[in-house]
Amino acid sequence: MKTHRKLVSLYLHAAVILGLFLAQFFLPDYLYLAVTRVMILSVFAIAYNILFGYTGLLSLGHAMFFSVGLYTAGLTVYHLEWSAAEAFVSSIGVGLIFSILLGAVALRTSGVAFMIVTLMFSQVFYLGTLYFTTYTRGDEGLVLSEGARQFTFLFASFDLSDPSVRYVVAWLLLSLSIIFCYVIARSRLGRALVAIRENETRTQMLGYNTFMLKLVAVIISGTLSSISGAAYVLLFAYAGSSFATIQYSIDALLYTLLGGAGTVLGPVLGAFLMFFMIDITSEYTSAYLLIAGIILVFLVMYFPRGILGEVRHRWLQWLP
Amino acid sequence: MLITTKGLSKTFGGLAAVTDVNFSLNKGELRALIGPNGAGKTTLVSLLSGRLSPSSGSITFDGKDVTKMPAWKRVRMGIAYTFQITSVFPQLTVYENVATAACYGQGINLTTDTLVTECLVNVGIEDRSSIKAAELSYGHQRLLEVAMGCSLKPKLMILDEPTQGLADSEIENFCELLVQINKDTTILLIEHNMSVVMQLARKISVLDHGRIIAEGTPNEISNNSLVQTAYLGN
Ligand SMILES: Nc1ncnc2c1ncn2[C@@H]1O[C@H](COP(=O)(O)OP(=O)(O)OP(=O)(O)O)[C@@H](O)[C@H]1O
Ligand SMILES: [Mg+2]
Repeated sequence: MKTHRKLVSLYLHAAVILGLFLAQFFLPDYLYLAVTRVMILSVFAIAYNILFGYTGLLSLGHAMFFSVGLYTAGLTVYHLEWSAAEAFVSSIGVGLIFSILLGAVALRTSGVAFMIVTLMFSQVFYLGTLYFTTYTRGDEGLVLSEGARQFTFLFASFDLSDPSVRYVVAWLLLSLSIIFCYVIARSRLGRALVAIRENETRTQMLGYNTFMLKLVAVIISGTLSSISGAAYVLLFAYAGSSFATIQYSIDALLYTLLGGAGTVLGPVLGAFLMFFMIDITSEYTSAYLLIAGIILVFLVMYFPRGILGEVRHRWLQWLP
Repeated sequence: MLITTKGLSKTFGGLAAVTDVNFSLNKGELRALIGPNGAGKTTLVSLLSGRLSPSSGSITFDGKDVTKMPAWKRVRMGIAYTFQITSVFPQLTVYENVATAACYGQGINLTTDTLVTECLVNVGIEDRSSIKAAELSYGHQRLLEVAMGCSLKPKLMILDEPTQGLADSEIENFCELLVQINKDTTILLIEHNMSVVMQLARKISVLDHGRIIAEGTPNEISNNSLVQTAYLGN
């Protein structure tokens, strides 16, 4: 019975990955780019969910991690003429360093204080992107040239300004993130993180080094966020200060809440639903954000676990 | 000697909750720690388990000075602790609760599954292993905590008022369970229920206003005038 459920759950996640791949052949043109973008934002949301959904730490500073990746890749390509691959790899390193620093400081607090400390870090970073306008061009932002976005992999050369290459790269990154999160959720580490979320004192009194475990969660979550930011700038060729605003931290939180915190696919579902909600309502009214807001309030009031959280609670207890 | 404290004190601001306690436990004992409300019992065992760090004094466990050791390391050395207020993982199943607890046990070679099942059988809630801890009755939640403690295979198990809120019939079973556990585990039991104390403990320590005022057999303690004034007031 247990292995049977494990298989069903594996198939379900594999089907979602496969479905997203096949979607590229059916999507209307106007959605092609949008879905590519939402897939990258889904990676960001998956990263956010590892800290918020599984570990129970609500960060308001994830826009910083996203834009650390965005700017590391963007600035090195723009100013130093690094290749896309070099820029991507270095953004992972810089993301890692920022995650360790923020984790080591912010984890000395908890609850509301944790939210505020992460927010403060993020605001400082945002102001930094404005302050160093000479390099970042602040609000206006950097636009990467097409030449900078060619890369070779396994002797084949790819062009990141080609929409279908972009789609496949975004899909690949999202698939890897889903698999990664799935593996973590099922691992000993994942179960320890959930234990911390459920009852940190108890977890500590069972022999777990909860500080270290939370630090690991911040590092995984922050670094994966930076990876999504780096992918964003390399795929869409634009890096601006707006990505470092609190708006992007809140978005990641909303995707996660909507789709279901603490589920592997929840943040992905949330990101897509939010996108379509705004896309559809903006056709009818200019107050589309208001409508999206009302829908969200409704969901949070009646489905506080989010969509997949509710599904898991009612029907599929085995969903990771 | 399994655990020894020397001059152990803890103050909260100006309040002295535990003062100059020299306390020790032999391997294999089932010791009761009693005292009126607010005497400092929970504070004392929190110092032993590492939940709190002492204002002064030292603690030796299993031949090692653990005064500055963080709680999670002490657990791995073999000190298990159950809270006065029930503390489980409410949204996890009973099985998952014990499996989470079993992770850092004392060098046991059993698979997690065997160990978890064994502990659930021992406390008698194996038939509830797949329901959420939140859905257990209060009495069963307390048993779950004991199962979690057992799964660590600790050298010392500290229980802070485990029978509080249990029905009389449940208390009887609970006492039998403690006797069973005591066969291979030293137990320090904080308990208000005197019949439980008298039935189980061969030695009792009495705490009042943060100090140990008496130590002895159940008989000696019930005839001790200091203890009587501590409980009845003067
Ligand atoms: N974290 C704390 N901060 C301040 N004062 C505390 C704290 N914990 C306990 N105290 C105080 O220390 C004293 C001892 O409390 P403690 O909980 O150890 O008593 P106890 O013997 O366990 O009582 P009970 O039988 O009611 O559980 C009390 O006066 C209590 O108010
Ligand atoms: Mg107490």
